[in-house]
Formats: sequence, C-alpha cells, structure tokens
Amino acid sequence: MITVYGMAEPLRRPPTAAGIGGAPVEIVQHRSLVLAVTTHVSPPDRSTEAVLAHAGVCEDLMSTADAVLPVRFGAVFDDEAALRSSIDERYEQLVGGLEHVRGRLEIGVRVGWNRAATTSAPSETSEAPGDAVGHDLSTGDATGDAAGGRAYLMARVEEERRRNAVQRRAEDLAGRLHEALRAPAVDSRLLVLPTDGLVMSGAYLVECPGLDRMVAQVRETAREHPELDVLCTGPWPPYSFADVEDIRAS
Amino acid sequence: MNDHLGEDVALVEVIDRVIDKGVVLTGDIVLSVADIDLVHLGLQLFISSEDTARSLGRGRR
Repeated sequence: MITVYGMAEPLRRPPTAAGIGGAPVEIVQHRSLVLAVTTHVSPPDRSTEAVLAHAGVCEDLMSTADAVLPVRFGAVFDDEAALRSSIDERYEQLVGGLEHVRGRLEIGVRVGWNRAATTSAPSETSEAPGDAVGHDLSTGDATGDAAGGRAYLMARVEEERRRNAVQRRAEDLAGRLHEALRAPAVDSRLLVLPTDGLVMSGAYLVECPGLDRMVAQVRETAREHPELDVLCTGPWPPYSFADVEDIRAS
Repeated sequence: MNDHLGEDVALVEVIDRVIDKGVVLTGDIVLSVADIDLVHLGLQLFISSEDTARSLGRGRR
C-alpha cells in the first residue's frame, strides 16, 4: 500500500524526513509532479505520531521545493497504478494549485473571545413542565402542560436570540479583522465561529518576502484589540490553499 | 506562557491542518482518525505572542 504526503514541482534534493512508522520517503514522478510517498504492507496507523510524521514530510518538502501541495492525511492507495490514475483525474487542477502556492507560505491566525471578558455559557435550563403554574381542578393538567410548554418555548426563543446575537457579533468582528489581516496576503480563507470559543480562524497565503509584513499586521491587530486573544502560527506549508477544486487552472 | 501549553496549541494547529486540509485525492481510502476529536480539543487556550507561536510552528520538524 502507498501513502501519499504531498506533491512538489520541482524538487531540489531528495526528502530526508521519515514517514509514518519511520518508513523511508520515496519519490514517485508522475508527469511534471513529484509525489512524496511511503510503502506499507498494511494500512498505516493513524495515531498522533502518524499525523506529526505526515506534517514533518510536508515541511521537509517545503524546504526542498518552491511549490508544494500537501495531501490530506489518510490518502492510501493499493498500488502505484491507482495513485497515478487518481492524479491523472485532476492533473490540471493540481498543476494550477501548485502554481498558485509557488513561493508562498501559509500563516494561521486564530482569534478567541477573551475569557475574562466573556461570560456567555449557553443556557440549558428551562422550567420543567407543570412547575410554571399551579394546578387547577377546573382546567386540569392540560393547562399545566401548556404553561410548561410555553416556558420551554420562551427559553428556546431566548437561547436562539442569544446565539444569533453572538453570531452577528462574531461575523461583524471577524469581517473587520479579516479585512485588515488579509491586506498583506495574496489569498485567504476565513472561518467565522469555528467553535464557541473562537471568533474566527483565518489562513493567509503570503509571499515569502512578505512574511514580516504579515506578522507585523497580526501584531498590530492584536494591539488594537486587547480584548481578544490573538494567536498567530506558521509559517506552514499551504494546507489551507490545497483545495484545488476551487482553483481554476489558468 | 509555559512551554507545555505552547506545545499543546502547536499540536492542535498541526492536527487541524493535516487532517482537515490538503489535497483530497479521489479513489483513495480515507482513514478517519478515531482518537482525535477534530474541531476539538476546543482550543481552550491562546497565546498572545505570535513570535512564540511562530517559533513553535517552525520547531515541529
């Protein structure tokens, strides 16, 4: 079985990093593409170590080639023929994708609500049916259930309102932050509210010489928003820009 | 910031990219990573110093 880590074009030197389970990284040349792969007798394990090994091979590729597209973890083929045929199915997109990231790196920015400043735990509580009003013989349990149902609905409406408010606030904030952050970048991806604790998660594709400008921009954004937690990571291989279906091979 | 926390955050960042991003090749057998909760680990903690995070990103090789 063959595991694929990433593709590059061209490669200046053979990869040196070890693959999953310490397997030596081999090169499969297919048309203009160089694929970094390892061979296994059974499906490779999927531990955290395996994920880190995958990341290590992609980073190694970055240091040996100007254009690298990381492949998502878990791409396993029965044999080389199956791999080549899969590449052929999308060859033009892959070549276009490589051109798009050539000489560029990814910077990640995650922005979180500052915990000290935010206390907005979702309310899971609602009044139990029947507890909201006293029972009355003339109306019976039906009224109690109706009142309980009303209280439940009110709680649901309130919860919905609160969620919408958080969503609007996050969209507004993320929109403004992203607008500033993407200025030094040639391409970007934005996720608003990827988790409850995060306002946004952004990925920014930056020309190598523009890296300092990107970092300066993040620093400025963090300074302008002391009420937010800003985390900048990278430089990464362009994982977030390897969504080749979205790239028109031009 | 303590180093252990920095390692955790860097790990989440790496896992998030490797599992959730990158070229998807059709025809492959996509392995799911059972023991890693993707969107996850919630990223409960943040680093405000981008320099530290930046060096962590580089340190993972």
